[in-house]
Amino acid sequence: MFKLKVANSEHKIIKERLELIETPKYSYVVTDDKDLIEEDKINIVFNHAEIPKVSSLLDLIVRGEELYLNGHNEFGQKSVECRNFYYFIVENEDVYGVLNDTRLLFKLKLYEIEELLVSKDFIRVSKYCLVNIGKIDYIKTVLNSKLDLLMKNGDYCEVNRSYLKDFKASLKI
Amino acid sequence: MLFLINNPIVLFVGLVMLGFMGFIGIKISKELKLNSLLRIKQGAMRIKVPFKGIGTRIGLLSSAALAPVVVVAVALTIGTSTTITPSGEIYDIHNSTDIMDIYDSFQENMSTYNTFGGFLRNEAMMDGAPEFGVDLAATYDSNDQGSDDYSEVNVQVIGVDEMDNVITDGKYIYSIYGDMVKITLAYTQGLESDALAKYIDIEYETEDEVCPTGFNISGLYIDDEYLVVIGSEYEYYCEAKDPDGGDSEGEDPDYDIGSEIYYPGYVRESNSVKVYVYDITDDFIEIADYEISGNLIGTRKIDDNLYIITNSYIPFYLDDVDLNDYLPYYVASDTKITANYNDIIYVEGTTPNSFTTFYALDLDHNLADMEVVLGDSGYNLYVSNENIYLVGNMYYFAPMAEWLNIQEPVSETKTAIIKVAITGANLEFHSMGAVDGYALNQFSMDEYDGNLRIVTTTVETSFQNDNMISFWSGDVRNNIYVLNDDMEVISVTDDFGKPRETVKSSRFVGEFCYVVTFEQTDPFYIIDLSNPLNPIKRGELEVPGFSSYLQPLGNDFILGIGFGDNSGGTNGLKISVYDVRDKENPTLFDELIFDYEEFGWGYSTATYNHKDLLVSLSKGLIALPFSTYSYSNSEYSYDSGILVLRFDPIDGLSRDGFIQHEVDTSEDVYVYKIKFIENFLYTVSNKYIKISTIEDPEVIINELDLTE
Repeated sequence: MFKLKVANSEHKIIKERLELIETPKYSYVVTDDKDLIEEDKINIVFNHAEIPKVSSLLDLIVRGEELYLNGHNEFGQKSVECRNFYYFIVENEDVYGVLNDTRLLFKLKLYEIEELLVSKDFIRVSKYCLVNIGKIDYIKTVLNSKLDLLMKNGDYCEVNRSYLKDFKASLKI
Repeated sequence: MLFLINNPIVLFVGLVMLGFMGFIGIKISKELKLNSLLRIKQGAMRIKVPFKGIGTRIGLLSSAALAPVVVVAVALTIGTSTTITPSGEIYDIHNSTDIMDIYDSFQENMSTYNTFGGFLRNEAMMDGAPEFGVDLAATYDSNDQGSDDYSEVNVQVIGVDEMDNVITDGKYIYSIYGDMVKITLAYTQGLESDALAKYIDIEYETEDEVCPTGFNISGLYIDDEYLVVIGSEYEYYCEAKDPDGGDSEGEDPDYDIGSEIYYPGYVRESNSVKVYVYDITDDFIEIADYEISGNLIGTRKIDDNLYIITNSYIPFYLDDVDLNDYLPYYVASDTKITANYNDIIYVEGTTPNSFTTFYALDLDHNLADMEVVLGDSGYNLYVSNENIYLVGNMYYFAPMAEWLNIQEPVSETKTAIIKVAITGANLEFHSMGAVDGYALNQFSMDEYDGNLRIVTTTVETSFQNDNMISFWSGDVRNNIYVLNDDMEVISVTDDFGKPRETVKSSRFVGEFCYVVTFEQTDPFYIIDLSNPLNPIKRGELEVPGFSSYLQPLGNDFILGIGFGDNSGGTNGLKISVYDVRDKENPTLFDELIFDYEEFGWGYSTATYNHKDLLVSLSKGLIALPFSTYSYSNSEYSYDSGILVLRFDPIDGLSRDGFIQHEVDTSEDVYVYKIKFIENFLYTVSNKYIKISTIEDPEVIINELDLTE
């Protein structure tokens, strides 16, 4: 998504300060030299003193618009920004969105939630589970070519064999 | 590869392990890649991710991959390693069933393990009454005293006497002569060497009308009060006459004794040791006799206490073996005392095929004590003033040897050292230690400041398949181990000796040990044991030939008796004196070489029996037996005598004479011992006792024919 154009001697340091990941295909050029801007890209020319602000701007660019989903639990209806969900899971034909210490019941089907979150780095790992890539803590390889995803809340989600290829593809940037 | 072909199970296990390790390896690789991608992805999502858990996870997987390797490696190490230390656990025995269980368990282990056989030494003995025959010199006055200046037995430890075949007390010479002990009046202050006369023969024989018996005399002790004769009785094989006059077995009986015949070539040895004690202050009257079960391993005497170690083999192969019949016993003061099962101990790893029994006889009070160990007898005995050390073999069983189907185990010789504490005439099993290798002889051991030092040679041997022909694998190590009072190894020297060299002799002198190894040359090493926790090699000297016995000559010199010739080989007797004043740089101070004649050969028993060597520093005297066969004019001639040498710390060694008893006779007269009383040399052969002087050793001034 990003291309950082600064002096080679400072490249690594500024990249770390901006928490910026560069990709071969990019839409944004981030530079401290206005002569290095690229005409066909979105260019961000920054002053070194403004790096914290630039970093916040990059957050905004990456995350895009906030998307709130409405679900409910025993305390009533809740509206939660989608990136707070660890995963969505189907149990007894009900769809739940799992948060850190609670979960919300949704009236949507899982595939409907998947369509809503397709640009938010959620990935289907089985017929019954949709996982937030940002909430995966560790990927374990297990027998039968399956994967176990250890989520940051300690839960496990299994990557089914038929979803394995898509899951691996989703990890590539 | 041959091992793997011969052991398909081991091959299979190896392949399974390799496959498992490969599988885990691929798994680790995949996980690393996926999680790496995940981190990058989350980075692009601008999510701060602490990298936690991956190290633990990879460690866990790696451990899982290596676990089987570790397990198999440990199993193989236990099965084949020569450095594994056994528990040496001591078992209490309560009854015969315990012993049978120990034996069965040991046999089961042995069936999966190749080991060397034990060392057994058989001596013989049985009953017989001594008879005296007296033939005094006409002029002898019984009040005429002997001398205090005489040669005692050349012992290893001062204060610990060793039995010998010829001994003197400054007045009499006591010698073993067949089944007899000959007591010869040798010296009195009044008559000096002219006193030489037959005095008493102590004979051990039985009546003519019964199957003849005899007495194999193993050795003699003498002190101010007692003459002690130790031996084993035997009897000939006899059978009743065939009433038809024929020979039952087709052999000609040589002797006819009334209703029985016997064959002199067949002797049945008894399984007990007999000890006769005579009062030398009362004209050698017998005052006590003891019977001790077992075959003689060794004896020592400290003050008026006699220590005897025997071995009694238990015939487990008999279906109806009754252990009660084989329990060690002794008879003292006509009372038979048999060991209780509760008094017997067993140390794990030793071969439980016999009882090894330590006896202490209190000669003053005619009492005895014994300590019984269920286990194979030892082959080397060392006794200090406080402890008895008996060295034998201990075996180690690989727990998984059978499962692994190991057909070519590295056979190992472990030296097990049983320590029995001496308190006067009481003995008590103290502990047991174990070291690698084998101990050459009693001089391989020494007790110093409560520690036992022991020199061993470890030879790794392996066996060819099928025909079990042994061959050298080339790995030979020589080490000195230091064991503390509890027989725990507290230090060990580095290997010394050139490749394939083994220890040929050693001698501990205070804080130092002198060791000779040999294969092609004779390196003489000085090992510094002043710090028992860190023994180090201090000096080294390399000379041709080798010494098979070492003895200190004061603090500055070491005498070596061994083999060497003038052409750098070992075809002769070599007597060396090493100068060890500079411990870093020992030198060969002097040497004398007695080449064997061409086509001839020779030998000196002093090369292996220290008691045949006479050393007197005060008289500057070194003497030892030397016999040669030489070939000339198409005939072999035999020359046997005592080599008499002079030693001087400045001039070194010089030859002073060769005392022979008969020259150019058809009869082989073997001169085997030399003693001195005052300035007279007494040489003993199978025919004579002859006297000469230290000043002129070869001139015989008096002699006694022992055959008369």
